[in-house]
Amino acid sequence: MIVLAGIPSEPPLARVADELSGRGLPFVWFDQRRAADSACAFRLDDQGLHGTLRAGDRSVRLEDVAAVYWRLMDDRLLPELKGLPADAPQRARCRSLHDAFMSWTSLTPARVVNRAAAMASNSSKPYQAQLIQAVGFDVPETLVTNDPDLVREFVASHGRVVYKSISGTRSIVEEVDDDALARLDDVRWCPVQ
Amino acid sequence: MWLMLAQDNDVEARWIAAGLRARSTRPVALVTAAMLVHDCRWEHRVGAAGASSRLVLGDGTVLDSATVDGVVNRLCWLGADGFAGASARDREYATGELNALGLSWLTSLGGRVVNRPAGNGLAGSWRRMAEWRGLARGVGLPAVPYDSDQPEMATGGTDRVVLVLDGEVIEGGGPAAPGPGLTPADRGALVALQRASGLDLLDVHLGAGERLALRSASFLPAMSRFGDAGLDALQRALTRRGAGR
Repeated sequence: MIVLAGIPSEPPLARVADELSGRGLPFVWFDQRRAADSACAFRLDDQGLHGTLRAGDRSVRLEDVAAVYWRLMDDRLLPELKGLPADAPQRARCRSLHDAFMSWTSLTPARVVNRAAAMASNSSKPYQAQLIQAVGFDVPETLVTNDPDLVREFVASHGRVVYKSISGTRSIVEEVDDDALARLDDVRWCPVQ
Repeated sequence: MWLMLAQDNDVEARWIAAGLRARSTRPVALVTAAMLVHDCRWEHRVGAAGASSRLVLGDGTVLDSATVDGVVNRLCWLGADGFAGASARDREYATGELNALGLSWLTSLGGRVVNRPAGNGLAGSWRRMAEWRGLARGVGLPAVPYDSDQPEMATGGTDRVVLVLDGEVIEGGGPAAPGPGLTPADRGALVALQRASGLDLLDVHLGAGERLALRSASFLPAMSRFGDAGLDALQRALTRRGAGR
């Protein structure tokens, strides 16, 4: 049994589902849009890791799951929870469901694409650059600073320079141009890459 | 220079910094998350020459990657809550940016750091209780059963807390309870857990029962529970890191 987790209409997941269907391979959804109608419960004890994933009226034994492909979105942003206060029971239940599912994916011997820990480097570009460099690749000269003078020196030294987010959020790459240099004092508020 | 990195309200960090100062002639700088976010000039570089950094704190203290030779890392996050004039959305974005920078900076300090950061935690891999118990079972350390429907029930009843640092198991963390002492096999399993976790330093909460079993573990040990034994071990760990440079 294969578990697909995320939003079923998202193109990459939908394509995988189509392909699995075409090959006649069994799969079940962990459908975030149906979180209110889903459950995930497991136990880890001397008998090993065992439990149940329920989606609507369909249940599968977690120990029968051979592989997981997940592309979960931030469950706080699910449309079904829009407008609910932060302490709404529906939010707490949804969070608890995701927490149980994510805990299980980190423990299961099934093939998980990809485990959360392996994807965590996406949260920091300069961190990821250090990992990339450590295995032998070249990485671009990078400065992260909140000092406008250091930025000016860096630009003078390298000529064409881009700036972007340090994290994986709002990751829009822009070239440093005259307009950007005119706003350079803004970097004093928060370091910029 | 040794650094003690911590959240603003971490009283254990203050106790550790004072204890290290009493044990070494090296300067020991206690650096908090708020200082790094609101009172620091950052210069962090990654490139062909490797990664380096030079931070200047508001009081003039310079944290240069070339002169820092030991770090006790209890920094869990760098938050932008102090940017009161920004929208909640922008504060969340800035928090992500600051943590991304903190992760890269700490990584660039390499093996000098006790505990080194990971992609899922500035002070090392963050794990849910189920993951700690799974990791323990994987290295042969018995663990209390975990039930995802009743996770809160699993936290109580700790009989003993031990510290594991660089392969050394330190007892004395209490709470005191009669029961069997740690066997060599127990100690071996605790060290195996520390190594498998990727952390250099952790405390492990054990339930004694009929056999010793892990209840939980943390990369933010309450070091003061272990008194001089814990501080002495930490000083040795930092000294080894400085000598290895």
